[in-house]
Amino acid sequence: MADPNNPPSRTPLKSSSQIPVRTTPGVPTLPRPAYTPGPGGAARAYTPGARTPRGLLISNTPSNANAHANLTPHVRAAYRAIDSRRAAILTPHHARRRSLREARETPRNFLLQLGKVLAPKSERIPSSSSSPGSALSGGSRNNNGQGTEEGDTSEELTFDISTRSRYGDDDDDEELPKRPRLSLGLGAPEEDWEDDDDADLPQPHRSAGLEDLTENFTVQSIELPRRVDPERDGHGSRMRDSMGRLSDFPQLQQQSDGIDSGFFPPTAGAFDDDDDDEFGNAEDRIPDEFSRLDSDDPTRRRETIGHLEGGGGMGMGLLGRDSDFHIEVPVGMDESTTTTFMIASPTRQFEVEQGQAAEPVARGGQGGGFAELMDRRSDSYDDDDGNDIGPTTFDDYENNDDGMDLDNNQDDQDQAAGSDEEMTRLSGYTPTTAMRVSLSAAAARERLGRFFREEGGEGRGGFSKIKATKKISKHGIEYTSLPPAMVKRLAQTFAKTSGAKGNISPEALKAIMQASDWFFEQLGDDLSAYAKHAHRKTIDMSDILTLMKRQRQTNAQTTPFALAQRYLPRELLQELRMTPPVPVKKRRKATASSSRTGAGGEDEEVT
Amino acid sequence: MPGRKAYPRATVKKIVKAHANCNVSKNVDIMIYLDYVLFMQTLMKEATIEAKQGGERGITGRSVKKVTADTLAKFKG
Repeated sequence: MADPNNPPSRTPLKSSSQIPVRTTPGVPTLPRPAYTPGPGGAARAYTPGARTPRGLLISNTPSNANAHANLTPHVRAAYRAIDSRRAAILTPHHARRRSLREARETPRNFLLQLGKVLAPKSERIPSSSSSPGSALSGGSRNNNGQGTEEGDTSEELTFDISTRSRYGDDDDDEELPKRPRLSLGLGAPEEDWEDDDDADLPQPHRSAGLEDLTENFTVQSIELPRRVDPERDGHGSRMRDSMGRLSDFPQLQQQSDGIDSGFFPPTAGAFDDDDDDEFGNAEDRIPDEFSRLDSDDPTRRRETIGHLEGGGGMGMGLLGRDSDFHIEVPVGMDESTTTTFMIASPTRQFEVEQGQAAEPVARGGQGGGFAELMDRRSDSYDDDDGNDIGPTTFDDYENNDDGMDLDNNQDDQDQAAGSDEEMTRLSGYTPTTAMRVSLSAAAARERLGRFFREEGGEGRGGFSKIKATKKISKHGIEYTSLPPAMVKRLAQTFAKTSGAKGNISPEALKAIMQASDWFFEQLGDDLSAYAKHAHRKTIDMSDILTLMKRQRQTNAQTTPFALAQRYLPRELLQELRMTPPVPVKKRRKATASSSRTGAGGEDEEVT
Repeated sequence: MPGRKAYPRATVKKIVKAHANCNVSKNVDIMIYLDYVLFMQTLMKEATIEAKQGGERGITGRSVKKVTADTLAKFKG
């Protein structure tokens, strides 16, 4: 609004003589000729009222005037209405800010008068000195508004009770604020919130002046985040995907930004940041708020929970979400310990775990606290049998005093599914990996489920048990997995070459063993598929070569032979070479194009 | 690696046989082992990256599990 206002007001006032000389090139020069031909007096007359430039244009410019001369007053009124409406739409908060200022000013005047009446003789209270100053400062109260509010309230408290009641009226012009609060059902949460404050001391300022103001601000607080959206949105692209839910997030985000403790993010978060902006607008917005509070607020929570429960399979179109889920699954898996998950069905496990998944990730840095946290959490899930995320966490919240922090965080992440840490971490993933993972998600899920069933039997035992146990493939054939010592050696070599420090921990080795089991399972499936496709009952060299080609392990540049030479010990190479056909094929393959090798391979296999 | 027994050939063969329900012809297991080695290399590389990103010291079970699904998908024929 500021831009369009200024130029027109300047041009006429600084008189028509300057106008031709004025040399701000480009757009602003264009409207001026339109204004100048009009009589200077008229222009001057219009400028003070020139709040809406459109109106000015219509009334001032001769062409427009002519155009509108034909119009009936009704039409003109309609135009004006449309324009104003458009302006209101385009700058939605313009009106609010203005109204806010008015609302600010009126009660203040009121109070000043009242002060004069009430205390002509009484001594001024030191705290009161701040509030008039702030009143003078006027519109720039967005930042320090909080402080001044407190100042006001304190002043009134010291003054009189009647003043206070007046003040309450002035604030929101009606009794409206109370209603929303009831509809929110904030009673219990608020208690929680206060408890919470006790628990997490880091934010004393929050609780400082707000007890009084709670009633007033609960309603307005909910609107705010919408405005804040776009900026915060920058954190993670995944928010973009769920446009419909944009309105839901920011509160939560806000909350997570500021403090981790707020149990009910909307109230808590909005308190601090924005109460001032919305101060006077209660009447304007309340209808909206109401509907939103009633319908949206519960649904939001439910929605997020639904997301969690929906797991990876849902077609919500929230790709980011999906991929999160899949990526994090293994994480949750590893941290959360056994018992709950053995019992539950795989899908169940996933529901439950998604809630947890974010947590360990976010806390990746703190190695120490892991064990306790995880254990405690899994216990809590145990109690509730992992049926429902929402209730569970709430219960936990009340029950475990020690774990307040944790539960809060978890809760936040359940609801918002996007705390900052998580989001930044997620942004680290390339989309391709996300896609890839989501592709393999179903398979991975099955496997993970199986894994847990197996793991359940063993508990946290070492790999020796893995070694000992015989496994049964899906074809009912027993097999033993590779010896852990060998796997460890291999893993360590590669870990060192890829720059990892230290040894491989037992859990890491366990995970690696698991991965290699899965790998062989997958490989066996693939190889048998190839062999069956060729109507063979035996897996041939050609199958594995095809597989490696399809895995993009070999291509025109890297031949299997080259790979073998690089990675296999000499004995094995010799083994490969001893059989005449194989090396011949390989040499030829190394020199020739890939197209020839397929046929050649077949021939040599036959000979 | 040299000097030691590189890997239990029989075990690898048995594993693959069990999963594929097919016979495995001669010396294929070497190539399978080669593939496994490549898989392990990729897995450890990814796990190392993941561990570094997560600010961990060395490779942990968490980092490995996280990249497992990914790497397996890469090695899906």
